[in-house]
Amino acid sequence: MVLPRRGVRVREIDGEGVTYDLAHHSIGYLNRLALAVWTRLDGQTSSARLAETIAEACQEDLDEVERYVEETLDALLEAGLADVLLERSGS
Amino acid sequence: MTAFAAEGARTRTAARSRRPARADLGARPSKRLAGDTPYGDAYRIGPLALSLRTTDIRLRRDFHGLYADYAVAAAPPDALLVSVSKRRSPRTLRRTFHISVDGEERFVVASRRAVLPHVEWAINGAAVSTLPGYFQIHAAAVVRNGAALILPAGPGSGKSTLAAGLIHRGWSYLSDEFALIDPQTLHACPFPKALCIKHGSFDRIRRLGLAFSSDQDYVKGVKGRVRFVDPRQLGPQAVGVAAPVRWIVFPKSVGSAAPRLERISRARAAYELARVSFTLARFRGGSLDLLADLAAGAECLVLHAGELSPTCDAIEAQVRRDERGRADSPRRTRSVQRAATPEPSARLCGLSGETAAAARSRDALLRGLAACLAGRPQRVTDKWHHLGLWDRAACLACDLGLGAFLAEALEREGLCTPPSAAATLAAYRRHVAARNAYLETRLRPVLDALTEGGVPFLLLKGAALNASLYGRRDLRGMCDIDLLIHPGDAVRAGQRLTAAGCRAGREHVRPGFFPRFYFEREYWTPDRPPVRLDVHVRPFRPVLYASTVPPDALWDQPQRVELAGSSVLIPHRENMLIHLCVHAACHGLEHLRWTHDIHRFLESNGAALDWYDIERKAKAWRLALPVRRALESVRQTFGATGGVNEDVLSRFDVPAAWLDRLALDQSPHDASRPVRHIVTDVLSLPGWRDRRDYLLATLLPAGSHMASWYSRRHHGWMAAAHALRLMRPLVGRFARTAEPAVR
Repeated sequence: MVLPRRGVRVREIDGEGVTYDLAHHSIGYLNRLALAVWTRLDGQTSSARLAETIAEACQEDLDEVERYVEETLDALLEAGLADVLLERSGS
Repeated sequence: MTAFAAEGARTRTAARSRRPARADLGARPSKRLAGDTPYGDAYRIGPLALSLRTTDIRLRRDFHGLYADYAVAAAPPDALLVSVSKRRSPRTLRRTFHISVDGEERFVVASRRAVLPHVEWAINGAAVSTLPGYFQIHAAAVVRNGAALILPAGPGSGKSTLAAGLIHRGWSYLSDEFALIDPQTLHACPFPKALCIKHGSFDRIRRLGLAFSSDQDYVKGVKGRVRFVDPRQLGPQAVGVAAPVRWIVFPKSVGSAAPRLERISRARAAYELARVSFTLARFRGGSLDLLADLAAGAECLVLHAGELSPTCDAIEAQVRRDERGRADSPRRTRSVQRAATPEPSARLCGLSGETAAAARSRDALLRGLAACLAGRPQRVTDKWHHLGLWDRAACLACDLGLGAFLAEALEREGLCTPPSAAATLAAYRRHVAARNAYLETRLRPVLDALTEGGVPFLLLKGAALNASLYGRRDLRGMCDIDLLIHPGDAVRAGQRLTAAGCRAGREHVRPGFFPRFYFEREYWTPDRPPVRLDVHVRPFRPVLYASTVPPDALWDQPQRVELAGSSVLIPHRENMLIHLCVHAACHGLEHLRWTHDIHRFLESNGAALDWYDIERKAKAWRLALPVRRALESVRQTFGATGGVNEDVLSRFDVPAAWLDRLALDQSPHDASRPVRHIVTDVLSLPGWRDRRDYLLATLLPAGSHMASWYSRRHHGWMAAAHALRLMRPLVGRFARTAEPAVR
């Protein structure tokens, strides 16, 4: 499960997004689909479910969106803009 | 599918700040200031004030050739001190030029041709930290019809050449290296440095018929040969005024292909702007909103540039299309949406938009600043932190001459200051120290001349406070030195000062007007830059006080203090407080710095003050009204200090005559309301003969005075000078001058 890292702000402009990492003063750009992924990150929804929701909302091919969601999540994690939420044992 | 792009777009300030500081002005002022015949000039280029100090005549001439229109009489307290010194290696005998800004060495170059470009470069580098109130983007900026176009790009992308091409077509110039964006209005503001053109574009500039400032090639490091274009020579309205940004054009390449423009999304444009921003970290989260709002209010384009002329054609065609489209489009109002929408930072700390906007106002910042200086900074600084106002507050404090006091107050309370604001305050403090050191050094021979000539004097205001109250150089800045002499010594003091190389300032309306009617005479030391001395024969400007305050009013029991290695006199404690209060009141109590002086004076001397003596003198000299107003203002601004309570204030509750109130109310407006000034002065004079002489002098000034109103000499020049003088009441409404019309 992935959720946005604290201290990262996003501003939507015309359906796309710009991120600002308050800790590192770095800025990023999110295209429409990346913004759609970002806005649905809540630490509870799986990537598969995320892809289904986006494919349905954007009326895109599910396989392509799934691949795209995986790539986006990797990029967000690599850029330090999102965190993996580890499930606690026993909970 | 391009999914995501994230790139650390850190500011360059961090990298620049790592440059080792090899020299520090504060550490060795005497050595620098004692140089042989240093030529210096002061300039204000857009919002940046600077003072160039060098012994190199050619550099001074070249720099002045580019910025003559921006020269000012004296460097303001916030001016950058740019110094260029020539040194010769004792081992190799090789000559090098050392370029420093505010005491920090920025460049060392061997070639004379490299000096001017590196001075420019050093100023640009320093501007990043000196102009913290602006969001700074590496871009050229031009303006036409009240709409700005910025060309953000890194070095070597041709933005200066493009800007020159557009100026040639009727655009007005705002800036070359920096687009200065006002964070409140999102307007691009002018910073009209000379355009620096690299050798690859020399022919393009020549083909347009544009002239370089000189035919000399300069050398700018790895960029190679460069030349400068003076924007003032490009057209009659070459330098524009602040305007909202309507076009953001990213020049991507320069080649021979046909130029084309393609739109990019506004989010992409905001991201690209961030990559070439110098102040991303300084504005923190506010950067995101600022860049997003900037992009949202503009047309965002990428320019694949070709030859200069077709490229300018393509830009202008696009601009015309957008202007036609904008005329029918609601997008036109986008830039004003920023003010109406609650700002994200305000939302984060739970304030409504209206409350946040109120907190950002100048008045609110002034109140916060006063609270900090009064020793109650915690709540205020929390608010500044939440609303991202630290940089504005630090900048405002420096503008008001209180930056060093703010830094001191924060240090005293152990409060953490954001790095950018801390850097601003620290730089200001260093600057105050350097400037005060310079003034004191230049003051010494003047004081010696007066002492040798047997002219007794008292130091007043800033110099007196620095010598007695503050006791250190890096707290309170001084713009000039105020001396009080006896009226009978006015002629002798003038002779001694002239013999010491000082030159008198602007002539009074008639010989003898000073000291009979006017309270001070201005002198300038022979130094470069010169230091202004205000020689007072009376402590206060209103003519009324010439008859109510005795000539020896501040002279009883003067205190002896040390200043610049000399022993000098300042007024006694009670007299000093009266002078500070009346002086502040005569300026309308509008300067926080002066009310802060009174606050600090009361804090330090309050317990020892003889309020009975102050009351007695104030009443006898008809100064109770200004003293009460000043003390009340200090109490309102800084709280109860130095034992000033209702009982103390009630001591000065005496009915004031209508003339006292008129003189005091008029005094702050002497410059803007000259007719009322003359009427008030005439009413204030005691006898008909004085009134007649005063009116004759002000209505029919001598030729020596009129010469300063009109510089040309031809048949009938006096009539022209009188016409200009009579127009002063009209022009004065728009002129930013505090100089009285009658002196």
